[in-house]
Amino acid sequence: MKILIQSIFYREWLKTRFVFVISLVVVLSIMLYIMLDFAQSVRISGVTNIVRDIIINNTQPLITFKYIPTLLGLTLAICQFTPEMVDRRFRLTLHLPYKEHYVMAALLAYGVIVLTVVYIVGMLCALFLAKYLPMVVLNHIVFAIYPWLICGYITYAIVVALIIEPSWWRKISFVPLLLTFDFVMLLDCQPWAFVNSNILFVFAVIVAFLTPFYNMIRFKNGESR
Amino acid sequence: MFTTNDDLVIDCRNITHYYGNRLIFRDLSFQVEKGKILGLLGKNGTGKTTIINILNGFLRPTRGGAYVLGENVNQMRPTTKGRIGLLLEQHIQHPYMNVYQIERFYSKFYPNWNAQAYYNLISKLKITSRQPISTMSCGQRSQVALGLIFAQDPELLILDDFSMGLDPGYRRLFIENLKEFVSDGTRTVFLTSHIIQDMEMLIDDCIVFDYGRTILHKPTSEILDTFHRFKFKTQAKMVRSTPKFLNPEHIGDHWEFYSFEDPAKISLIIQDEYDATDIVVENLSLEDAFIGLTGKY
Repeated sequence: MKILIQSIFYREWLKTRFVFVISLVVVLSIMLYIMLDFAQSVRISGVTNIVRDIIINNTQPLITFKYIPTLLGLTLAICQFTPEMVDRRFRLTLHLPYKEHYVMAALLAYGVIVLTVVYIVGMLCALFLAKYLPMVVLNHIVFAIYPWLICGYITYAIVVALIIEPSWWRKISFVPLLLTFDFVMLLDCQPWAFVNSNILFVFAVIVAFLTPFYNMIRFKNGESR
Repeated sequence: MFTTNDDLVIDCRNITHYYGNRLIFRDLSFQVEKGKILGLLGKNGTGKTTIINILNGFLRPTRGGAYVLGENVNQMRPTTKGRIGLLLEQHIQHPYMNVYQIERFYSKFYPNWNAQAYYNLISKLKITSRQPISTMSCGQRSQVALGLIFAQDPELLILDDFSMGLDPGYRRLFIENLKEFVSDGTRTVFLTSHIIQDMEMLIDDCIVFDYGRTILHKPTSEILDTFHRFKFKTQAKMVRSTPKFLNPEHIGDHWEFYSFEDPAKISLIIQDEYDATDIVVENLSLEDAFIGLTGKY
């Protein structure tokens, strides 16, 4: 397995390194913008007013970052798997001397790790807020944004499944599913609104990440309907 | 379920496959013994790539099954997959890698990996090790793909349309390298190509497909020795197509047909049936034999 993971990660890195670098640049740029904007707001309005806005008016300091995880998940899935589908090149990957499920797992693991690294970089930048805001307010912010990060992972998995799916009709059927997930998880709502939905999120992530395995089997069997 | 034979590297039994309502083949059965080079000939759309996909487990046939290296192709163990060298149509590889990177990627998967075999082949091309595959010509890409197979040192090579897109120089280079690689007789090759002159230089046995069926499966030498074209003149308006007179055609002032039968016997028959004169019996190349068996479009 170590050989599989190392080799697959090596290949996927060659394929997606520019996407990774651009993603980091985008995230760092957005976080820099947010930092500067927030610092300016503090200078103008004062920390007390900012805290009141966050707690009472649900103002989200990181709102500019809202769609970034989803866009990153979408972009990474497209850049990682579209080349595999050109000329059905994915057959070469499935012909590697490992069980196909392990190969698929290694491919998805790479994507998850890349997304996680980019998210962590973003969240580390967001720690600048700790300079101004108390922990209770930071918790408030975290519970508002974690659905965005989960949405990014789910988007990645569903887009991967969509790309691998051999039938065009079924590909199209993934689009409303994806849009539904994204719509729900990116709703503007109370920060703690999703706290009782964690089980559903876990279920959604599991189902989303199982779907590419199912579609991989369909691809391998040459299904066309 | 059917029994397997250790000498059979490929064993296809009663494979029937449809794409939607279109029949590709019905009850197709053939075996490939260890050490043989088998060529699959057929017109476009007769199912050559379909059978390649079935043998590699990339397509489940509608009915029937196939065994490769003694295992069901749909439940192949990873170690068995490692014993098969696969060349896909158009020499598909990963274009975002370069010569060095692709060798490094594959080398970890195969315990018998022979990097020297790969780089020996690559050195014959005018490319650097850092050249991306996406910038290579068709011919260069074919040598990279072949080099990777050589380095893998598989027991079975499955090559789908190995000559597609190659100019005569690269085709000849590919064939010579492949012949040398399999010359020890321990490796089995199953290949398809549209360039039948190339196949003639390579293959021991030959399967000819036509739409929905297999026309024949014979050693290449037997086809070349026993299959002839007969040309003759006759006043008869029509020459019937029969199992002895294949694909009769009127061309100019004479008729021609093809047959596996003894030339002397056939000459007597057509003299008797059609008052044939100016009878000419021609030996055939494999390409002529293929056209004789399948007919022109």
